[in-house]
Amino acid sequence: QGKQVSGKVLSAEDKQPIPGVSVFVKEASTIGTSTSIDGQFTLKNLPANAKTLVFRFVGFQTQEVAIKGGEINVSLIPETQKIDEVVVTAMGMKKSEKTLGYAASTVKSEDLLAGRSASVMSGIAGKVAGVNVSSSGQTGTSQKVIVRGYSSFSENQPLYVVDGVPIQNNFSGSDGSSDAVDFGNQAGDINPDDVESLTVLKGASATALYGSRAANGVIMITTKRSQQDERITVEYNGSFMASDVLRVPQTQNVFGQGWPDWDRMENGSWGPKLDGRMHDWGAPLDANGKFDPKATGREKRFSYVEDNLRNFYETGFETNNTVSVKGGTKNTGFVFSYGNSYANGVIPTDADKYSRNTFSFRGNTKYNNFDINYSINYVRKDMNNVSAGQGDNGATIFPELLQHAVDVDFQDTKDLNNIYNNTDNYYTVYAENPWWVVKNNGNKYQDDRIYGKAEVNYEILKGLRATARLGGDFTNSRQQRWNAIAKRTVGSYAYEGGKKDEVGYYNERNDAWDQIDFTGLLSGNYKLSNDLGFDGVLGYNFNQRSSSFHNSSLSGLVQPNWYSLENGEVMPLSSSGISRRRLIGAFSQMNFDFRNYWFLTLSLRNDWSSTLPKNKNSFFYWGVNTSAILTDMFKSLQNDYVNFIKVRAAYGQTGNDAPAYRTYSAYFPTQIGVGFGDLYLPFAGVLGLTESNRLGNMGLKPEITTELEFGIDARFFKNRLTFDVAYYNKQTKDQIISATVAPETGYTSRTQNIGKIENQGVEANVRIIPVRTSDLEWEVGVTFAKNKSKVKELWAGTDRYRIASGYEIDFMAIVGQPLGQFLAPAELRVAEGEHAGKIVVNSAGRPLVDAGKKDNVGTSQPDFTMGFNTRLTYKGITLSGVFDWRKGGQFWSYTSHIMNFNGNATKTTFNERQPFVIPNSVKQAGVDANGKPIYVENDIPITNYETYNYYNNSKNTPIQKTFVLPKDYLKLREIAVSYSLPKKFFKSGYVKGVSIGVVGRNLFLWTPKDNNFVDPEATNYGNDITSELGEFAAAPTTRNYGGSIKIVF
Amino acid sequence: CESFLDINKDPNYPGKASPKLLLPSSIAWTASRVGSDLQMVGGFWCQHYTQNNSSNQYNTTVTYDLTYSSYNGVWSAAYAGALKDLKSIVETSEAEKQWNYYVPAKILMAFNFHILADFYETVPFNEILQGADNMQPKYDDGKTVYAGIIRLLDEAIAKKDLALAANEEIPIGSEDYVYAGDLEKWIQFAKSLKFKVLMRDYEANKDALAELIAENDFVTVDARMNGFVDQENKSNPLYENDRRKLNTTNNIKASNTLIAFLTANKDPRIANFFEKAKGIYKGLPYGNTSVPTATTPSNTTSRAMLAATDPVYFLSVAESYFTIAEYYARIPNAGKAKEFYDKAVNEAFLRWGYTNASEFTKAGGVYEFPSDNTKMVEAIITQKWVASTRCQAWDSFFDINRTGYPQLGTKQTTDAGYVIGQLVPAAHSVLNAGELPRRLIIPKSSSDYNTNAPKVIPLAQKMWWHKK
Repeated sequence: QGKQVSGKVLSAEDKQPIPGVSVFVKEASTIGTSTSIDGQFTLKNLPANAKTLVFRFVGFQTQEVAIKGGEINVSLIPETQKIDEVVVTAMGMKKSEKTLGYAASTVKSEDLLAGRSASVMSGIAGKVAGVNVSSSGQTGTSQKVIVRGYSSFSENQPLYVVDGVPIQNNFSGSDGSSDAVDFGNQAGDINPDDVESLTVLKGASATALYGSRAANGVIMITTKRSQQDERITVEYNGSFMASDVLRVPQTQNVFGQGWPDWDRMENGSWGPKLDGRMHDWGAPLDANGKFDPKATGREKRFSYVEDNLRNFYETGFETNNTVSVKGGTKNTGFVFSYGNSYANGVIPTDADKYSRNTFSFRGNTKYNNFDINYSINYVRKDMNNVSAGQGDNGATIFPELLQHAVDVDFQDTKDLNNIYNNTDNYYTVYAENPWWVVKNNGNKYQDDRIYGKAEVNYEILKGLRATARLGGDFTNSRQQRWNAIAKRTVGSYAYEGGKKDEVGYYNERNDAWDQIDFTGLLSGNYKLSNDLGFDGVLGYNFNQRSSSFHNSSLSGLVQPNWYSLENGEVMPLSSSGISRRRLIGAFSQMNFDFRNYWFLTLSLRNDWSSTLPKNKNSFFYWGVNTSAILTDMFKSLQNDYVNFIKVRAAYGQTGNDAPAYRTYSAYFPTQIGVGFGDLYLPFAGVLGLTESNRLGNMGLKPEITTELEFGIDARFFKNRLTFDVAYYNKQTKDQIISATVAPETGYTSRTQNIGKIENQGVEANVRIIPVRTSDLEWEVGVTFAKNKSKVKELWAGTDRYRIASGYEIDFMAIVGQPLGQFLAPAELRVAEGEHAGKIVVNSAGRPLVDAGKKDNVGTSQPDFTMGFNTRLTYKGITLSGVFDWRKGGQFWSYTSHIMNFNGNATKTTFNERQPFVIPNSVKQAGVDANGKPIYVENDIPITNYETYNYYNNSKNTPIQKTFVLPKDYLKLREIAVSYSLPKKFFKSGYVKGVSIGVVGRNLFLWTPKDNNFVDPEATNYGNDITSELGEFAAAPTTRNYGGSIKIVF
Repeated sequence: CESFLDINKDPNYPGKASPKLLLPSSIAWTASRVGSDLQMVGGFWCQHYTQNNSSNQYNTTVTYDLTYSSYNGVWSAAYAGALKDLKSIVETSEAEKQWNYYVPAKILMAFNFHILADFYETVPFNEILQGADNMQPKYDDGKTVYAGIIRLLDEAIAKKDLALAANEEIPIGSEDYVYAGDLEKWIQFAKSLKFKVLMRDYEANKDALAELIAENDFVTVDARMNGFVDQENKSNPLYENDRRKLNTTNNIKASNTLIAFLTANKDPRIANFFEKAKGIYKGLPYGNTSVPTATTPSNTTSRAMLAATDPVYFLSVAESYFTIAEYYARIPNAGKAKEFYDKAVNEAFLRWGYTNASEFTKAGGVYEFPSDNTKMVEAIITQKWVASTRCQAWDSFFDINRTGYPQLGTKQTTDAGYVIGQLVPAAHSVLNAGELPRRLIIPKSSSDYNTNAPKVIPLAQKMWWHKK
């Protein structure tokens, strides 16, 4: 007969009894009960080891009470008071969330890790309103993180700060339409298992203390730490995921190889209808394997190959393993972790591979008045990736996959030992065998990075503290690209077809990036009176960023398969350079609080930047914000339904200083682009210099962002409904860009402060808990963001600036329009008269192009984005899911372009490829007496024989506008189920807890029917604004699914 | 901390360059588009070449379907490339009395404007190259630009003696990719160019032309950029672009128009202009972008022959002779015209190593100079048209505009009644019947950013000096 306890549970708030509270013995969790309608409970037969009772009820803080015998009466504290969470703000200063006058969205470790991604940033996709996160390829490739829309023409990356120290976020690889290879950005180096929480500071007031570096928001990452005297625990986190291609372009299945007649050499599907009959295909070779036009090739059915593209790819995998040891001694707490992330992507072979090893040691020591924090991290990355876009020095894989007849099975071209599949005999001479490309052409990357910090805090007096924080971040990287030699044998099928030799190519690039950042802080807090509190900080910051590179390439290799700069008959082309910039800042922040319900913060910073003109390099930034907790101010507002209301307002200014070396013009060794090739001096042993086409500017100023923000944060029904809404208006002016100037000025661009962009928007974050019982909780969260941008000014003489372009699609900033407009060649239309507005066609019935005009066919800006999160917890089981929805906006797709061109796009079967006349069009019938054209109704059909010309951009220039596709999508970003094994399994032994899970990422993608080509997030134009142009045969995105396990020792 | 922050001068590149380093650069800039885009546009539009039927690269050019997005590189290479560096040379050489650099710089300026004026007619001239001081330079009409070209050439010619003297002290050497520092030759180039430009308006410039004829100091060595080698980034720009870097080398094909002419006349230069396909020379109909590949595979038609080492011509001796022949034909002085015609054809043959031109120009030969005075100009320009292949095709395009030769017929080369040597209508021309392209459209790199740029001028609109 064991002990017995009984008692009553009340709410600390209203002293009313709470029914349904779960009460159990901590040492034996199966022994428990729940409280009755009047809050009473009784537990009998307690085992001898029962020492503590746990009281748990949703909406209240869990409490533990020692069993002493007799009545145990407990007052549970509502979770409302947990609103007062601590968040990390600028310069690593911790603040109570409720005092903040601006939006700061925090994502906790468990949410970050739910999808088990190797990247921290993909863990917040869809979870934070106003932060757009997208990735564009396999594990380890770059993440695009854009906070509250694009405001700069060049630099929109947020600043990443880890434990108070800025880290570098360089992009490795290259972007653009040729040979784009993505080795990720450095924010992806952080092991997600090391992260305790991540806070996004969105507005200018929140980030004003970072001055010239903060215009695009700040991502504050706080790593896990250990307390002094904490027991040592070891934790293992592992996941294994498979990955598949998420989206492959859909091809038409009606017509087969040909252009427009069947032609064995063609790589398009403009040929006859697929009839399923056996037919001859591929290179005609004689009995000796020699090309003979009279011979036949192989035989196969003339029919559509289902899932041809999808089956080219393989199932990849990704594993993430982290072991961490955490604990403390009398004065010191420490965490050591080792993480390994390893992935082999969906491209066959090891052509796309990622391996990241992270070692992290973080500690904190308290000794007398000293509080010392330190960390050191070592990251080693090894990566293989394929080039996206087209290849300048050898074939790239994706165009070869797209330029392919729909009846030719890639499985039939896979065996490279088969004579029909080698570089002489591949069925089309207009593309390289993709299997050969993937095996022979590639890219490799490796880097070593060390970053860390040392921070000393000294308490001078009570309430007065000095801090010195030194951070360093050093990376060395090496990139290699190789393209194999492919000489066509004289007289071979490829040779006779005019296929160019591949001469072989090797490129090697080394980069070093260093950052040193020092911050000194003096902070204090005082109670000025009973009602008025003050705390403030005075600070100094020094930041230096340096980089250097050496890049060499050799085109034309001698010895096959030997990739070296020494394998050539000519010297490799080399370039190298260094860059260094310094920034000094002095700053101060003052916080006032009145009766703990009204708060006011003032931030000031002055920067001196080396990249701005001498004597004009000093800039002042400031911000002010205030918040009032109405429910504390007017206690009468607070009741059972209304728990908390806070209103806030913020105003601030931040900046973006210039890139290095833009104030002066310089002379460069002459290198002239001539369309597809280049002319590089020296010639005949004589070097030449040419003045840069970019004009320097001694009047540069930083870009300035001024932002006004209002918000409400409210919680109702015992926190079961919470919402946080923000409105912001952000004006960014004096963008530093290489503004295009007319060449007759002597320059093609000038570094200039130009323009004004407005971004205004609304962000909402709503969280509802529809079901909450002692065992079951279901939570639904919705994030909504609508950002409206407008280009308000550019510079004198123009209303437009071209940000990027693909073929003749220009991606523009145009005054009066949202930032990012797509201009496409326009059809020539009749200007006046009875046919005014009609399209004019040429003698083949195809639309003529207007020689001096382009049509605006859309914007890259979404109407809005939404994220839907849900979490269902039942006992130890948690189910969570995240949907991400983007409505509106466009992007340009080369994939669409090329698939229209070669007859693979589904829409090319329009009208069964039978003749049609362009509706509402006219043709010219001579000129009148005044020399003006006479137009008559068009009756020229586009014949079925020439349908292919209608879809060919060089024969129907205006068709290019149809390659700008809707960017809408709905994505199932994450779905995860995890189960924590009951504690009773681990009563004894070393293992303290185990949880297992099943995880899926990007399992589902929906796009409108006009986009049956690509994942609209896929891009090879980097991770900043140019990426909004779209894609040029970009790498496919992937879907990942697998399992995870966590073991605590 | 000011000096601590004073680290913003690019440590990687110099902030100044001497004429010695700028001269090779400005020659290369000049050659870059003249030797690539313009050589190609010229080659297509005078129907030396046409677009291959199994590829698409130059479809819009051969069908005259160009817009303000087309060939924008011409403009930037001339203004922001060549002319800017040339201006720098002129300024430095004036200040430091380095007249030996001043002379070629002025001449190259004139040459660049000649190309611009003849392709665009109305171009910025007087207010250019002032950087931030004038971001919206005014456009000047063709006549003004022509007068300016003459002025530039006269300024160069006037400094001849000073330049020769300066060259004695510190001579120009291999940095001059054209004449390796031979300033006498540069002056000859200047005079030949001046003569050519004055010929645009023969009636108005008779006296000046006669003066130059009297001086008789025309080019004796081709003005061309030499030094290209078969190496990536160091080759003839058309070769580099079309053959080394494009994904297919099968774009520029022989046009039937020129093939028919060369074949009919058994002209040996066919071997230098075109590659054999399946053992024969076979062309494609000009401007027909729908020739089926199944019946006419690309390995059955001749490619343009191009070499990595081909020089880029600015003004050739043959061209100079043809122009002088044309001058005499207009006087008319049939004897002198024939003399220079024969010399010109001989030079054009010699360029490719043929010493037998006289067999063609002799009495009874296929290229015999016509005795009918009204046929002289046509004969001269027709031979000039052939000679400009793989050399100065853009100049032949100018000649079509200027003289109307070769004439545009109405028949295709395979049609009965086709006159050998006439241009054919492009099957897929987007222009009206009987129209030819007369210009390039002012690029949007200027028109979008210079408020003084004129509205789009139609491709078929003639220039002031064009034959109506």
